[in-house]
Amino acid sequence: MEQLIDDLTFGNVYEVKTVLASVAAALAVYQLLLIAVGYGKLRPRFLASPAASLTHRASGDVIVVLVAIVALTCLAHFGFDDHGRLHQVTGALLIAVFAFKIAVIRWWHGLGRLLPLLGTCVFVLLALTWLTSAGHFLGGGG
Amino acid sequence: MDRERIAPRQLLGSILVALAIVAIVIVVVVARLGTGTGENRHDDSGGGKGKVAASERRRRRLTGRGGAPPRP
Repeated sequence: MEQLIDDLTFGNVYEVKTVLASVAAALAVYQLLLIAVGYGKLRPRFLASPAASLTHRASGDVIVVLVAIVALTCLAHFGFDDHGRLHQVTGALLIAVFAFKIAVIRWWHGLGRLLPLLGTCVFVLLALTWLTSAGHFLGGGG
Repeated sequence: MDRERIAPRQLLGSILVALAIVAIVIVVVVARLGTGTGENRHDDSGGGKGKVAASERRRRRLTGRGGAPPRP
């Protein structure tokens, strides 16, 4: 698996992970704006609530795919070593909360009132996970 | 969330904004990664002064894998 990832990324695993994670983080910020419009907290003249909600869902699907790819790459290539404990904890929590949120959206509609809280948790965990890996890497931390 | 009729132009516009964000982030991050990495990326010695070389040295230090064997 490690060799496959190396081949797919031409040996630039860190760089590919950084780009994908950064795109996911930027889309997550956009998600916040979209859902604020979707719930009527923001009311711009150029974007109505239904369109914002639909785009939020589509953009969220893209983020799920990106996060899944980055997480699989991380686990397969780096595994769980002693370095970056905070990153491992936030990453694992992110996957767990993400999975729970998807289950609530798709099947457990009775828990729909939790969606704003779950969305906020996903955003905070995604930001922390990005900051402790890609953000650190881009900032020159190696 | 409302169950109103979706305006196609608004939907297209918001999706285009998302695509623009993706494109801008890719360009900025790739440019940031490329800054100061003038070394040969196929050089297996772990030398160089860029981010790629630094991350490679860190990976080797952590994993103990790859690169030239240690000097006696």
